[in-house]
Amino acid sequence: MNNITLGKYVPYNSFVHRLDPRYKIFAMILLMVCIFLKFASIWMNFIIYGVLAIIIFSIMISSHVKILALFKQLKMMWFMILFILVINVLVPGDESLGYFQITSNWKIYFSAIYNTLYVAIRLVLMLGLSMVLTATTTPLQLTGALEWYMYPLKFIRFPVHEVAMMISLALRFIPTILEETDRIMKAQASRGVDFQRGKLKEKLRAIISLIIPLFVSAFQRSDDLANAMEARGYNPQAKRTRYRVNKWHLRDSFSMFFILLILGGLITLIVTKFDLVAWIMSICA
Amino acid sequence: MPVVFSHLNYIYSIKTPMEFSALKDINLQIEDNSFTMIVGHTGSGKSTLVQQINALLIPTSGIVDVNGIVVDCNVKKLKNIKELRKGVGLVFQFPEYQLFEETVLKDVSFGPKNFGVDNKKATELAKEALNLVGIDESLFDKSPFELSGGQKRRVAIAGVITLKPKVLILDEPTAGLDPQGSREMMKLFTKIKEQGTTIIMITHDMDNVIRYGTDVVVLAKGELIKKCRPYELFLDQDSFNSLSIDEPLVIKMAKRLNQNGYHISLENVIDIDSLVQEIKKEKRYE
Ligand SMILES: Nc1ncnc2c1ncn2[C@@H]1O[C@H](COP(=O)(O)OP(=O)(O)OP(=O)(O)O)[C@@H](O)[C@H]1O
Ligand SMILES: [Mg+2]
Repeated sequence: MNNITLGKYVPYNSFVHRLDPRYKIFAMILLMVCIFLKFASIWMNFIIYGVLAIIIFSIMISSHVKILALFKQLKMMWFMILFILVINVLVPGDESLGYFQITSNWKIYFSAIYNTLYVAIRLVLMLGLSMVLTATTTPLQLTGALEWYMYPLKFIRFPVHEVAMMISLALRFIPTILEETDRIMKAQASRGVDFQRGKLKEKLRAIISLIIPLFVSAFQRSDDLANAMEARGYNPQAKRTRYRVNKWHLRDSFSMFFILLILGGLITLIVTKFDLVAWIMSICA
Repeated sequence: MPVVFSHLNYIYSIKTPMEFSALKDINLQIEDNSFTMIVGHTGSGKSTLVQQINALLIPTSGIVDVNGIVVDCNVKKLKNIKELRKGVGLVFQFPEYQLFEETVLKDVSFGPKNFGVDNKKATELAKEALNLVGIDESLFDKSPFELSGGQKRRVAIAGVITLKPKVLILDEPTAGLDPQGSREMMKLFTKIKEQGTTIIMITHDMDNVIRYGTDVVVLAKGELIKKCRPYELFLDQDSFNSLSIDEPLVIKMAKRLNQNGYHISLENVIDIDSLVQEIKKEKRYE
């Protein structure tokens, strides 16, 4: 079970760890927007991706998220990237960017390759960002922040607190269920189940031997929890106070300023249709 | 099959901030056909230790040798892992959570089938194991989820012993059972031992240790404190006090009698009957 690195909180005490979780969610969304912006030319796109990659990778390093782990996660996505490439090659692209002539009536457009590259780069960067968020923010902090964002929904009678409670309970049980999975896998492995290899039929049996006990114990656990909460007088409608209150610090304002600066700069580049490559060429000429 | 640990270390979550050294330089030999008890405070590494024996956990350094099959940190993909697991049965703490088949019989025959035994033979083996653990034939076609806790435990244990392992490891098999059920369970294990199986059992119950154990292994904070005959553990008051191990009642009685002029050798005291025998012997000499 040690291969699940995505979505696992790692307790360090870095700058990013100490940031306000509400701000972290906000910053992640802003940076994701940046990743999806389109600039004046293809080269400009790649230059900006490079800059964003440097920023995101340095955030990862400073918050102790291993970049190697990111690429390990990507292993599973190779197939998807390949699939996107095939689709892109098959549909007619933008002729103005040039193409390879393969046979007399089959061309591969450069734009197909560019588009695939865009998707791949965006995937890497988005994955990196979400890894930073989950590695530096406890599930409890995350739901706390989500609840804060959902607060306006209260006015349309959306059960914000109940939903937040459900999310935090679900998140709370992820480690427990992982532990349970590990235990059941070991127990079945000592009965001769091989979870790694085997024919399809054997694999199916192996998975059934894991899933059923897992469900049985999950239902049991939720039953127990519900009883325990009721026994202690839990009332979803009651007004509740928080044990940990999120506090906005100077560091949050500071890094918010930084992120807004990046977004603002990028938007300016788009609006002015600035093209670095063309600009340098014009200077040299 | 003898089980030999040498210079074994095990670290959980290595190279992360949660790194935890659970076993430190364990050197230990568990003899063939012994009934070895593993005792120690909660969190001392007992469960971690036994999981090394069938390669559910791979040592961080050092080796485990189970009758010639060696598991060490260099083994990435152990080839004879199936052979190893066939010879070493492990019953986890609360094994009833591993039940999943539609019927009791099917669940117990799941193990043999995994090791390539054909259906008919597997069912035969399963029936045999269920008889051994004392599950009535009328329950064979019931769903394992409809059984009582104690019955589930028996079925789960049957699911492991049906493989006829040479080494049977039991992680607190009597936890949560009533005294009667617990006694029956211990009798069952003795019976299995008499058929030539090595039994390794983790327990907190010192009465069982002294009554059934041929050897006892004491762990504390991931280190091996001592391995000895069970009665030897209680000879030295200070050492077992510091390990927060409870003295079995019969040993306590024998010691008290010795303080009052008896000369009972603790070695022979394993339960009430044997204590009575010893006292009778003493009377004869008087
Ligand atoms: N998956 C894991 N990851 C990290 N640490 C673990 C893990 N499993 C156990 N540990 C730690 O290793 C130590 C030994 O655990 P182990 O389960 O072997 O103890 P034990 O002697 O069996 O205790 P008990 O009598 O309570 O069953 C404990 O301190 C525990 O916190
Ligand atoms: Mg244990």
